Formats: sequence, C-alpha cells, structure tokens
Amino acid sequence: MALKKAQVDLIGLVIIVIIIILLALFGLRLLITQPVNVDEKLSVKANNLMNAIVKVNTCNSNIEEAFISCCSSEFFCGQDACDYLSKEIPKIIGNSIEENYYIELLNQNNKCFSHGNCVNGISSSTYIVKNNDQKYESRVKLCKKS
Amino acid sequence: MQSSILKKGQIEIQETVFIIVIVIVLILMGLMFFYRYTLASIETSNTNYEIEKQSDLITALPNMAEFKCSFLNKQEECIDLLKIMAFKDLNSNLFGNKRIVIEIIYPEKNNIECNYGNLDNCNNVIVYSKIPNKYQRKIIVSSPVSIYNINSNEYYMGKLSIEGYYGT
Repeated sequence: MALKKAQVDLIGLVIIVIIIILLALFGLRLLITQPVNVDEKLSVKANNLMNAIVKVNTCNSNIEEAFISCCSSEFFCGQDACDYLSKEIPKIIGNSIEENYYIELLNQNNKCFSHGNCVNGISSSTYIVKNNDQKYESRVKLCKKS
Repeated sequence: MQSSILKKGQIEIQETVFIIVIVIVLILMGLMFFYRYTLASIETSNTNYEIEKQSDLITALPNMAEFKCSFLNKQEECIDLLKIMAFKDLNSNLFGNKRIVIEIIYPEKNNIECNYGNLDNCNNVIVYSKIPNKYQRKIIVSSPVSIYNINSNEYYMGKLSIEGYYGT
C-alpha cells in the first residue's frame, strides 16, 4: 500500500519536473530569439544622405562649395556661408528622412559647422572635400526617433 | 467498514479525475499559447523578411542601369530624372505589388507630378505603381537620393519611397 502511494507520488513529481523543464525551455527560446539590432540600413541611409547633400545645387552653386566657404569664413549667396548652411540644411535634410540627424564639417579636426541633435547614432562614411591644399571632412549621423 | 473503504476509494478516484482534467486543461492552454506564439512569430519573421527585401530593393534600385546617372559611360551616385521618365513609360511588371515614388525635397517645387514637359518645375514621379485591390499589410521603406535633372544640369535632394503590399 505504502509502495503504491510512493509510486503515485513519484509519477506526480516526474510530471511536475517535466512541466517545469518544458516551461524553462520555452522561456529560454524566448530569451535566445531576441532580434539582434545591427542597423546596417541606417548606415546605408546615412551614406546616401551624405552623398546627396554635397551634390545639391543651391544659389547657382552647390552645397560642397558652401561647405568650403563656411570653413574659409567666406560669404556664400550674399551672406555668411555658415549662416546660409544653418538655414538650408534643415530644408534639405528635414523632409528626406524620418530620423534625427547631426551633420558636422571639419577642417583639420576643427569644427567649422554642425547642425542637428543626434548623439548616439549611426554615422556615414567621411566625405572629403578638397579645395587647393585644404581638405575638409564632413559626415552625417542618424539616430532613430524614440 | 466496507462502505467506508468504498467511499474513500470513490473520493480518490474523484481526486484523480479532477487532477487529470486540470492537467489536460493546462496542456490544452499551453498548446494554444504555443500555437498563437508560433503563429505570431512566423508572421513577424515574414514581415521582417518583407522589410528586408524592400530594404535590399531600395539599395539596389538607384544602382540599376535604368535609373543611375552616367556621363560618357562613367557612373555617378545619383538617379537620372530623364531615365526615370523613360522607365515609367515602359509600364513594366518588374517589382510585383509595389508603388515606387521619387519626391524632390530640395529645392522646393510645385506639388506637380513630373512629365517630359515640366521636369524643372515638378516635385514627384510615380516610377511604378501596382496596388492590389485587397491587401493585409503595407510596408513603406524610404531613403534619401540625389536626383539629376539633365535639362537644367542640376542636382536635387530627393526621397525614394517603396510601398510594398502584402497578403493579397
């Protein structure tokens, strides 16, 4: 009688252990299959954006020329080149992407111009603008809107 | 004495039946949950796959010879507006159930669809459009592009959008 009861108890215990193992396996699967968020798409988008910005024609010239004028503290389109960029860059970028952005222009590691509010984002490749012996670097960074 | 043993036996049988019923209900609930989870997981994978496919297309499309700028056989990273118009005229069935639109963002232009006569003053081209009557999901992927207008020899900032229609 006592043996039979022990057997029944043992079966119950085995069933509980099996259920716990199944639940643990299911939970483990949920944990493991979390998507890895490597955002290559954002990187491609940032590169496309950078490539498109520098080519854009504006005021009978292009943004690349405005970059050079800004770093040389010159005028562009009848006004300070950096002021011009501050006004035009939001118009150029604003409606073409859904993400937040940050664009910067450097001349030998000195920042000539920057615009936008994205700190931890995906950056484009550096676009180099050459003018005589000067070399200017520009890049854009994209952050997903939270 | 005998009736007491019988009663005890009946109670034990009732307990066993009760536990079996509970276990079966729990297993059924588990199976239902698992089925729903698997179904949702398959749907998510399918949606991700479709987004991935569209993202690949948005990367590949500007590099297609039918769209890409080329000057004396030298290719450049931009989309030729005139080539787009020519492709549009083909009315091809190349991309399945999709709508591909190119918008000119900068400089700001009139909200007019482009044709051969107004390339300097228009702001959008519907490159391809095949929208099914019935669909379950619409996925939109977009990317900035550089657009070249050979008429004015100007580059514009544009936005390439691909709308995919799924579950037809």
